[in-house]
Amino acid sequence: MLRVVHVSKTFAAGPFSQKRISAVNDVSFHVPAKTSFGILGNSGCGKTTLARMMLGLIRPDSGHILVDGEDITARRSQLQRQRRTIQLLFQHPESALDPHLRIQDSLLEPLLAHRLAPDSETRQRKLEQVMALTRISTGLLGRYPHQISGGEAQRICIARVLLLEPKILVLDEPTSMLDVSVQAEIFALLRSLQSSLGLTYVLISHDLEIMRRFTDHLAVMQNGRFVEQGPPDFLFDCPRHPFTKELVENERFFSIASHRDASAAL
Amino acid sequence: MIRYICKRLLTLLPVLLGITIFAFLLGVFSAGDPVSAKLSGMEIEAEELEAQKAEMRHELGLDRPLVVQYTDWMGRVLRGDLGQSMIDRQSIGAQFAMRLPVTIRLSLISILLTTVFGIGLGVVMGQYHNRLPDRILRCFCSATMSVPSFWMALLLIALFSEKLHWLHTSGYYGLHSLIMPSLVLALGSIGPTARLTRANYIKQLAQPYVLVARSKGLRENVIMRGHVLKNSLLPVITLLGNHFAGILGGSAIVENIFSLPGIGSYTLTAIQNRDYFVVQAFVLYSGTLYVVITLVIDLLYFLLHPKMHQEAVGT
Repeated sequence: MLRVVHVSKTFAAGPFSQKRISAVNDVSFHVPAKTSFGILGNSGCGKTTLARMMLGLIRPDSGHILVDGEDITARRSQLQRQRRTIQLLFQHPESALDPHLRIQDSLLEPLLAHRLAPDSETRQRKLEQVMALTRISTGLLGRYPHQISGGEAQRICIARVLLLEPKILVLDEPTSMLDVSVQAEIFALLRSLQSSLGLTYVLISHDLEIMRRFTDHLAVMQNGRFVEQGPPDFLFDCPRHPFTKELVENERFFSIASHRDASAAL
Repeated sequence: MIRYICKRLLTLLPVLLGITIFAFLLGVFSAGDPVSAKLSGMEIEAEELEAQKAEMRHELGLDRPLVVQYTDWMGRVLRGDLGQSMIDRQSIGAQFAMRLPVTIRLSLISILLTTVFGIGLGVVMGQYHNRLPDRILRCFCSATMSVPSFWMALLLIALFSEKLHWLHTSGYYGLHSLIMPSLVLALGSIGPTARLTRANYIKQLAQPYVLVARSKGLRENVIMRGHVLKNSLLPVITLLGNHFAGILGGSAIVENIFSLPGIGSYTLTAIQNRDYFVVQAFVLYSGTLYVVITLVIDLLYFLLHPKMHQEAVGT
């Protein structure tokens, strides 16, 4: 479904753009259809740059990205054809919605842009379908982004993405701004959508627990490179690379500390 | 909406009252005695001069207590009578009515130029952020912002009047007489408007909703016009509103250089002659103007910004 082959990206840096900083360095992976692939790494390791390249928002310096067998880095027309196939779910759901647009207009905009619903009746039917799927109440449609909660905003972003009928969703830390109960709700929703619509997920996060629970295959990223790949349980139980070991140890330390704090509070 | 407007109008009343008191006191306590200024050119004996001054003060009502003078003045202002000039005894209201159309035309042309070029250049700068067009236009904006308006006026006169003989050096002979003055006023404000538009445009471009709109496959011009520009312009409205109020309040220097019969040049002459009834009327006019334009900006914000709408309804 999604194949990334030897992709690299550098950015100019310094006051006269004289330096080159490598954001993504020779990254390759394959995500089979209807599975969840996780990319784990610290802030600034190149996860988001990689995600933006997968979405065709940034062109890689070298390498290829194949979506549904079509190389989106080769020609702009191929990227345009595959635009709807691969979609993004952002970590700041409220700011992913235009503050001046009502929720209904935000939802309908991609439908109108891609001419997916020629008449208002079809638009309304499609809207009702995704609202039922994502459990959005009709009362939210007339509101503005600042009038809804973070969880509601993320469900609206999911609904908006689904209206384009994508096959792959890139989830860029989709619940990092939400509280724990809403996080669980959003992941349960994503799981049910995966099984009902056959979606493929690429999840970007630095949360090991989410990765363990949600992904089928995981890659650990450090300084723009994949340092280790494998099933999440295997990676966390027997980490080989020093960076993966450090991540796992830090996670254990913080989970013990938070457990101790919780016990003390009780 | 109506509730919000009523509430805003109610909050304006004490501000307007404050402006009237300030305008009145400014005239009373300003340096120099208008009666002395009026009689200064005449060759009169010292004793007779004092008697004439006292007589004139009595005639003008300047020997009465301040509160009486203020209430009397306010009563006349409320009836639409701004009084008479101490110097030429002409009605101030009639002078304002005669000069206001020139100032309004000048303000409208200037604000039109500022809006079109300020926002236009700001968008180009934002679109080409840190690239050559942005750098060139930033230099242009800095240059226009740093050149004083009188110097810009002299440069334009030298070019369009002295060298090319296209426009009159000074005086008011119709709309074409306002080309150079409005250009001078606009050039001073195009820079700040363009820079503010650019800053907001760049800020909006970095917003996640723009990234999401691109990933949805929306066309770039739809994203720019429908999302980025719309969200960038709200703070620019305030700047343009203040600029408009500033020119409408009288651009004394520019009107004087180009000898335009506007409010600004009239007030400047009144200040030189210590004609404090005119100065009082001008302070009242410009203060009220600022308050009204601020109200209009607030209402525009209310209409254009959904968050403000909710806050206003909530309160």
